[in-house]
Amino acid sequence: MNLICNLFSSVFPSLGGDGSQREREQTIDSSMRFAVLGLIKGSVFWLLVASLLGLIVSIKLHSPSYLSEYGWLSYGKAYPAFWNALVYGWLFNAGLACVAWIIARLGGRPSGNSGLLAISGGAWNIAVIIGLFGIFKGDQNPYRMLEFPSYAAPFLFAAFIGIGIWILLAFKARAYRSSYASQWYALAGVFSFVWIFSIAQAMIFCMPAQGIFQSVVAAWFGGNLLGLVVAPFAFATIYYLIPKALGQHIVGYRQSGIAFWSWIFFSSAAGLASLVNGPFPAWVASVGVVASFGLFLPLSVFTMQFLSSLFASFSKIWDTLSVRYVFYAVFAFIVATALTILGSLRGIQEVTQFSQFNDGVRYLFLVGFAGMAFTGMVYYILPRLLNKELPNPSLADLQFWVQGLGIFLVTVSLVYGGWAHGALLNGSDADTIAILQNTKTYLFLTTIGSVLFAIGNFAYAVSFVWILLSPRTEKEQSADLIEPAPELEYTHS
Amino acid sequence: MQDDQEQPHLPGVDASKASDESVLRVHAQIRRKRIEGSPVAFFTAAALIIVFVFAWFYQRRYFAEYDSKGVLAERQHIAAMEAYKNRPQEPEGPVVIDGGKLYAQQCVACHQASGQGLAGAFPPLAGSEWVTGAPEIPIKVLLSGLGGEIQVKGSTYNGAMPAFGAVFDDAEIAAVVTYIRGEWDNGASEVTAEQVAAIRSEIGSRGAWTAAELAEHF
Repeated sequence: MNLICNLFSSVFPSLGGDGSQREREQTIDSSMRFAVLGLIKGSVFWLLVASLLGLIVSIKLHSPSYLSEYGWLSYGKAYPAFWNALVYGWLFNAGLACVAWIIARLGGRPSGNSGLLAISGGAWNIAVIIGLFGIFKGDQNPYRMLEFPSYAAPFLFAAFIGIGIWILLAFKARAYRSSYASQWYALAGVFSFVWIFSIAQAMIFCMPAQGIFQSVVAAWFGGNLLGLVVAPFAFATIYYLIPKALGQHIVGYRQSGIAFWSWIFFSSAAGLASLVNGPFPAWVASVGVVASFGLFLPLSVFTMQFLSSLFASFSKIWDTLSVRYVFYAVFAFIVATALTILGSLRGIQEVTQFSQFNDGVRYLFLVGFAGMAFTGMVYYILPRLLNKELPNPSLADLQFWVQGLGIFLVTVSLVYGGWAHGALLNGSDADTIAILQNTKTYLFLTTIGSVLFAIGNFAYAVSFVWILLSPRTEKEQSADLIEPAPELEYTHS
Repeated sequence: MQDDQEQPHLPGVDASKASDESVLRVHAQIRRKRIEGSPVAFFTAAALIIVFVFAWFYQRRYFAEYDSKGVLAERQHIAAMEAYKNRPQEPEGPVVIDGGKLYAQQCVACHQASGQGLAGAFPPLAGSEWVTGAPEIPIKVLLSGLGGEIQVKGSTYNGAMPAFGAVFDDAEIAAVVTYIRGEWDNGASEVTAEQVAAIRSEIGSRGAWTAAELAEHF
């Protein structure tokens, strides 16, 4: 690693300079402005695409004839397209933008090489386009979150390697020798994705494992993509934003090492719990259930740390846009992880296995937790990258409430509706169609939630384009729009 | 700060409340410092214990199926138990009574296992004309007993045969009579419980027979 890093630093000269703290920050921001903005642009674009696809998917569930004349938009294609656009399009772009910026800022020294980040960020988006095109064309693979056709995988992998190397180089170039939790999670997410994606591609598509073992690998990959890639990026964001935007140190930070390792350890096997009642040796699924239950340990540490830190400065939360999102994300994380733990138990899977329950939990985890955390971080980054104020904070205010309500509605209707659906399937001898009709209300509620979420996303896109295109005011043309940050206060004896 | 216009409800820029360097420094400091009686540490330890307890009991319940041979053996065992519980029951039918067993319990002390009796005291059954003749004679003797002198195979006996009418039911008397009429090369016909029941109702309750009374059947 050292060799590679030294090689790169000789190619790309260090841009670090002397000067005040604010000037150093501006140098860092300007060195990566184009690349990070590119990732954020990609994330906003894919968020709009994903919310549109999510709307179509949720409408098709209660009105099957909707858009049925378009074969490429059938439910079987729109559903995986929605989830892949959501994760690989929106969350990866936004998460990588946040993490790259955090790593560079916490490093305290510009690492340069921003061409690498920009090119691989662009390549990533092209790979997502190829993958989605493949899904609509009918080349999709049958495994959850691996639906992108095999010819998109090398592009995706290569692009991620580029972004990952940039993040490692930025970490290598840091000026401060001590490390912070945000950096651990950022690097963990980068390493995990390379590991799980290469293993999954190799064992399912390149040198296929025998028989049902492919399903075990796919379940492992699906769980790890959420738990070891998307979630760590969101943790990195939350750990960074609470002290930075709230001026509050993380309460109980001493325990974050336990939280980190137990999260990595348990989360890496938690996905296997979805194999319960499948044609697998019972111990495989049981390992997943025990690992899911083990998430109770990091969950309790995160809950104590984040909630105590947020409540310590409770009055400031609603006046700080980015921390609002963090607040929502923390609650969504607690609820989603609690539901993951409960939902992994055999007795509950008996009811929820063939229902929308798990989609609801996954939606809350991805959108309510990771998505909201990234959105908050983007609102923190944007004024600093562009040296502009948000032109219309009321629009962002509206966006927060509408998105928050939409996510809440979708989650409640999927989780509770899924539970009701599963209980009826098990406990009643009515026709499957009659049971589906009976739970149709929840499907309508999902559509209402999706519409609200899409409206919020549209407001987000408008805010984003507005701040990009609006001419700079006099105040914004000066270099001191962002005031230099004070020292973090820590008065605990 | 005093003027609401200067500090809008939601500012366009979230202020930086801490420099990056101080975030790193303060948190590194917190990590190094041990805090006595930290509630976060306490509840973390509690959560760790809960996770281990759950994992222990869950693996006891479900990891046993680690070994598919053991599972198969256990399932076969359970299936065998079930099969035994649900085995086809014997249909209700006539109870077959072992006459030989009853003879060994009640008769063998006097008449002997060989059926030869004891010379001078108890008459023989093997080859006895009282046994192999008409089936009514042994049935009546068993039901009500026999007293006084009797000539058997040329010897005279004077004893008291007890009555078994209250001890044995019809089927048991039929079984014993069938046994003694068939055993020891006697080769006489079998006796049914119906015959015994008919004779029992005919003779009613009475004292012991004498040889003269029974001789009418010859």
